[in-house]
Amino acid sequence: MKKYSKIALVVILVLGGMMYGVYRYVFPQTDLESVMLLPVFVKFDPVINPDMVSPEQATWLKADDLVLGVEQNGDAHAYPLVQVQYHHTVNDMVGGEPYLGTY
Amino acid sequence: MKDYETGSVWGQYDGIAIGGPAAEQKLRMDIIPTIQTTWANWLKIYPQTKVLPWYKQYEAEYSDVNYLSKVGVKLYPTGFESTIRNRQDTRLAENELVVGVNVGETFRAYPLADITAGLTVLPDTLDGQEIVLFIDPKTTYGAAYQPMINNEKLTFTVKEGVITDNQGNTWNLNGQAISGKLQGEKLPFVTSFITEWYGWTAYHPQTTIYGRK
Repeated sequence: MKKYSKIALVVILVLGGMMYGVYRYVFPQTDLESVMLLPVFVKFDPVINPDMVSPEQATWLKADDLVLGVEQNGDAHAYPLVQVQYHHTVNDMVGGEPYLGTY
Repeated sequence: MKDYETGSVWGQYDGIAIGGPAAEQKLRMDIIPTIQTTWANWLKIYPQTKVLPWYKQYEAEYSDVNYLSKVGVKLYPTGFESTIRNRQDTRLAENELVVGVNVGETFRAYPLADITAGLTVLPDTLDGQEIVLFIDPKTTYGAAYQPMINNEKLTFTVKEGVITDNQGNTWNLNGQAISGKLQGEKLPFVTSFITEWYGWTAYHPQTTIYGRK
């Protein structure tokens, strides 16, 4: 009897893990569970209130690198694609208004 | 997407709340134009721009993503998406890049692969409304605008690599006049963005495809 309960536990863990993987794929940005299971499942960390820098400070950017750019009320923000493709969401303020960039 | 404040779940394609308190209140976010272009070009348009800082802790995750310029690249094994979605629209390849445009209840996808002429101005009518698309396949950029300023209709062409209207004003990809009488004016934005086909059609299965049956 003890032996079967162990097998049942493994089956439950494997099935649960698979279901969680699908859930994670559909809702990649959820918070608490992703922190708990960080080493187990790939997740994306959103950017929240970034300290935006000047073009002179952005020394890693090359002329041909793609960026996502947004401009509101004269305030322009650029998000390099190489970074956004990982973070997937950027929670920022642009031109004094909240801006959510998704990718 | 899920917000921290209320735990509500949001669709990233339309900014509409689909679960939680925000959905009960039928909340939706406005979509504003977001340009995809080269760093050099963005800097030319907005020299005062600010830039997302480089987060060293994510360096490993910041891998080469210029795969996006290779149209039709496959991110997932064949058939993977269909295991989590019931509907699979095979009119285009899952990862084909399109400009998705929405007017009222009408949705249309403009495949980037069909744009072979470089910087392109594409007029169209959607749900009875005249629109114009500015598309630059080289930087996988595409957005739609109303070809109107102060109730006056404008007609656009590309002259010597610059978007120019019938009054001689020139325009950047952001829909803003950069020279001429209308300098500084902005064309009204029509909800649009670059997207992969599978996401666009999953959200908007009724979408038509420009130039296709």
